[in-house]
Amino acid sequence: MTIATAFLALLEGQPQHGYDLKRAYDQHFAGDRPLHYGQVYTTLAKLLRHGLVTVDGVGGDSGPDRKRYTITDAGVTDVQRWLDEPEKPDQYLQSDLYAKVIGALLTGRSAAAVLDVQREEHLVAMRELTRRKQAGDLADRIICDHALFHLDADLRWLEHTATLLDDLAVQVRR
Amino acid sequence: MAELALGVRLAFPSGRRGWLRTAMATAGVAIGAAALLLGASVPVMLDARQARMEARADSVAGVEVPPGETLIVAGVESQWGSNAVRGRLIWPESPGAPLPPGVPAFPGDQQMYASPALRAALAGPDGETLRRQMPYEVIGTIAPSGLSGPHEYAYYAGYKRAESLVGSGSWRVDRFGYVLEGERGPGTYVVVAAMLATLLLPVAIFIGAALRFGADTRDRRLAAIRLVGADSRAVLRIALGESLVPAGLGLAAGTLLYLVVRGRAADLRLFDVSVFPADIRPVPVLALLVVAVIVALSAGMTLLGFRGVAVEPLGVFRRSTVWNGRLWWRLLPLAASLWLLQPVLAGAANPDEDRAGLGVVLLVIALIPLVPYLVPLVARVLPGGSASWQLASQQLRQNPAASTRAVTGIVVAVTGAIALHTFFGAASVRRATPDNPADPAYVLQAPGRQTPAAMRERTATFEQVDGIRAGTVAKYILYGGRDATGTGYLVVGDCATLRQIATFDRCADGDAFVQGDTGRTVTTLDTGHIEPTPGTKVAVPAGARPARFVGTDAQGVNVGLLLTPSIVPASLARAEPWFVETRMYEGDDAPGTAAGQLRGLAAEIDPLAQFTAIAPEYDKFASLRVALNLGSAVILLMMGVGLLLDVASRLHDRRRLLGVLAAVGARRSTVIWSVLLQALVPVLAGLALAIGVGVGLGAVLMRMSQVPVLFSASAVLAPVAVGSALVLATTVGVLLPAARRVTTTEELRYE
Amino acid sequence: MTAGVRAEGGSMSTLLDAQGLHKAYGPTTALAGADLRVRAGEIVSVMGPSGSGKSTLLHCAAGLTRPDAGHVGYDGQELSMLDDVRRSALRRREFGFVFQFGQLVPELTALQNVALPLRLDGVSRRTAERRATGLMDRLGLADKARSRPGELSGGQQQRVAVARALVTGPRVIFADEPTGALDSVAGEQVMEMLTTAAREAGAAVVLVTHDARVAAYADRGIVVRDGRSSERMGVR
Ligand SMILES: Nc1ncnc2c1ncn2[C@@H]1O[C@H](COP(=O)(O)OP(=O)(O)O)[C@@H](O)[C@H]1O
Ligand SMILES: [Mg+2]
Repeated sequence: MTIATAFLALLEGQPQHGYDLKRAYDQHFAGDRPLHYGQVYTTLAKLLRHGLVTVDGVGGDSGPDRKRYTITDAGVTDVQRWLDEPEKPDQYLQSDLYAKVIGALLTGRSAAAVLDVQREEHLVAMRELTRRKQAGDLADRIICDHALFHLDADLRWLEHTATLLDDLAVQVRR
Repeated sequence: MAELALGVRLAFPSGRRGWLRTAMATAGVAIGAAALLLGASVPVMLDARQARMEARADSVAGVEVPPGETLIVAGVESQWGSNAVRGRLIWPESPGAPLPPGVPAFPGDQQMYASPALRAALAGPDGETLRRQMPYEVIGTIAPSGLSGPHEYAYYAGYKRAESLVGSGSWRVDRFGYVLEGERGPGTYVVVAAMLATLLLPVAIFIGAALRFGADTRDRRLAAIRLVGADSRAVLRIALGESLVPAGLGLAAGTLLYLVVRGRAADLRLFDVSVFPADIRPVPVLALLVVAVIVALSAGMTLLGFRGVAVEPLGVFRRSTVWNGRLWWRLLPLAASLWLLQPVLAGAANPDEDRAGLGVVLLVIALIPLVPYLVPLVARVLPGGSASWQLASQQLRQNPAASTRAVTGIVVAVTGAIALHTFFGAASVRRATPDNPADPAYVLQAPGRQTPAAMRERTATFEQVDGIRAGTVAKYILYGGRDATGTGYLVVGDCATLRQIATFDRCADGDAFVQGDTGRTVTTLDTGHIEPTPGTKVAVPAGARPARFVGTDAQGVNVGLLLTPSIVPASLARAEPWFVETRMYEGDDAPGTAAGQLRGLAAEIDPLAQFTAIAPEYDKFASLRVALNLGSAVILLMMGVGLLLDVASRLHDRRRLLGVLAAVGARRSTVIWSVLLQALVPVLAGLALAIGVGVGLGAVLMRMSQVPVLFSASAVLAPVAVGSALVLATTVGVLLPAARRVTTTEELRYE
Repeated sequence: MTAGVRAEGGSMSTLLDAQGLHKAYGPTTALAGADLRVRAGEIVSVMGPSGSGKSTLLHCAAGLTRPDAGHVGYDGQELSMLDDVRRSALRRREFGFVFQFGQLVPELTALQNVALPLRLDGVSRRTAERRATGLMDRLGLADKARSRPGELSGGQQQRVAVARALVTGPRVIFADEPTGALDSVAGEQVMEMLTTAAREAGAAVVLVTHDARVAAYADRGIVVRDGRSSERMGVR
């Protein structure tokens, strides 16, 4: 996930000033590595350039803090595309997936759908592994099983998260 | 068909509970089948007995048989203890005379053929006293073809004197096998039917309890079969097939049991009736019916078990029957029975016995719906408090039907036992005294003329027996015309004896007394003729004073003349009296053997003399009481086992709950007490009901039999004590260990 | 995306079509508009958290439970319109069931259990047991024919159940948590046998499970959540 996508997701919730964007990002996505201001403005500039956000200067003169950014339709589509695209089933994808869940919640989209999409992606991978495993020899089986068990753990985390979505949504919106 | 076979296959269970269930149901069916087969044999038994009795019947019913190839017969009906003794004094008039059945040859004078039972009694204790009644030399044994049953006391004695007594004590027969009078009424069948019905009820309840045992496993099994594609009717057929196994096994075991009982039948006696095992055969149609009834019974109990139950592929659902505590329909049978019994209760003179009988049966049945109502009522009324009672009472209130099913049988059995025991108790109180207190205990009526001195001597003979007071009179019957029905007596006796017969102001030798309008003269009935024939004419003495007969004599007699010896006219003294009657009164100090001694003395005077015991010499309900005790023991035992099964299966059903209770820290004693209370409270409530209804029923029976209503505590409490002991034994003996096992939380691990 | 290659083979006709199923048990809503579509020969997993209505959906689809609303079409007939006899016949001939436990008859031997649906359908005992034996041999149960369910391990019991589900040559097998009571090795064995045998027989399988590794044996899957199913997955 890129900072740009995160900003778009945050802006889809409501138009915001750059400073608020940084604060929200730090709260939801940054973990223990807050953004520099420089990163904020280069990212916003890039988004403006691509027409994904617009700016409506309130004061018009005194720096970026006076500018309020609003997401464009193209930006919304971008967010949607991001959420719709399942992450590649990989071993430690929780952080990415987590970001997507938050993103969905922030934008008022269905976090469950995100999880469903991901689950299906996982399952597709698991089905493929299962087929390979059934066809292969014992060594193949054991290798496939390793992957299967990990994917299974991911899925269980997904499932678990899905049951907690309502609580999470309340927290995120606060 | 395949489904029935599958059901049969499934009835051979795996696991202890399954076996127990099949075994119990089999036992119930076996008992029912044996009882039914015995019942089905009763008609054959009675018919065979009747046939034996008809084959040897020698009653010519007042028809005179001309001499020829004839046998002279005189009957001596007597009694020894509780056994009637059938004696025949016979003398052939020609070599071609008919031989009685079972007798190989004519006995010589003073010789006899005796039945095995009589021979045994003669050889037994006190046989010498008995021998005085039949002082003949035993030369052989009567074969079974000449006996009504193996325990009959009977003899055929050669008695030459009978020749001279034809018409006055003996008669001629040209064959044996005259038509017997006094056929048994249809009543016998009715009684048998009622007995079987009451027996079948507990048997059905028991089979039901056995089939319910482990029903949960069966339910799961049937649901599993339903899942793989059996429709609901197929499942029912499977269950029916399953019920065929206990039915079939039970029928086999029941037949075996029946054969055993039949083999022992020679040892059994009821009401003086004994039966040859060979005579116990079921009527073929009835035997088939028994098979049908048994199969129908177990099938019916199975189907009944499915009432309100839906066996679905996903499990068995009991249509949640909201407990219908409404009382009114439960009272309907009670009301109907009370209506039927109303004439008896109101003390009507001649209640209709059929109606009353139906009422009695209905009263017992009326209990069945009442018990499940009573139990939640008691559970509600009893004060709450301890945790264990709270648990128990909740369970009782929510599911009274389940808690009381097994108890109902016990209540019915105890009710019946109380009623019959109290009735027999009261009836046996009555036996000590004759119906009419003025009547003597025994009466000897001997033919022949006796001088006053001889009569006094005869009186003295009988008074030798301890506790016996006697008096002897000569009795003439008054001739009232050819078709006259009204009877009168002419009695000759001394003042002391006449006082026993009638009341009058005073008496001295030479006095005469009259009762009723005798006219100026009376005519005696001549003896020695079968048709009424006038005999001696006697003028009524001028100074005759009024008198009244007492006792039973007073009922049948409207006219009478009583004469003291010295006023007897010579013509009368020469005439033969109808009989010479010796009346014997028994004091409280009379020994138990008095009757036997008196009979012996009487037989020595004249074997053909008629000796009548007016008060019964023995308790004729004794054998019935034994049968009742036996029957109620068997029924109570069955009920006990049924209760046990029921309690065990309910415990099994709820072991999880109990385990959880124990696991959350309920004290074991609390849990066990709740289980105990749950078993005991219905029983106690039911027994209270049983006492009430049983006593009422006993009163009805006493009223019906005109026995003074009387209750003894032991008759009431003994069945109750036995019933509650049984319940206590089963609950404490089986429930407690089981409950202990259940309450160890170990069990939970396997859930 | 490589998902659902088999499933998307549009030539396969829909065999079982459950739509808009609603079912409530008293105050509890078990199904609130669930769909399930099964094509001939495919294996469909039904996943979802416990209590979400998976079993209820399976029961409705198999005609074991009558939904409050919605339709279940099977092979051109509406299941809820069939009476008990016809639905029972369907269970006997067209459907097979493998549940978590409790579906074997403890009184019967493994062989008799497997032969049971045929026997109920009037097949002679000889034929039924011959077919059952053949199937049991293939499922590695040859030496267990005479054992009672109580004498078998959980995995063996489930394999007996699989054999029984397959014995009539059904077109749909309904499996509800078939490995729920098994450890992972035994569960895998059962799943492998179930799916292989079903594929060979051309039977469709509805596989209810909460275990992704079990669901991975399916060709595609649906998810049930709060009584609603998401059919869109895998047919995207
Ligand atoms: N027979 C029933 N009676 C009452 N409630 C039921 C019954 N079957 C299922 N439920 C309820 O319906 C909901 C869905 O159950 P189920 O279909 O068994 O879920 P799952 O199989 O996904 O765990 C649950 O809340 C459950 O409690
Ligand atoms: Mg389930």
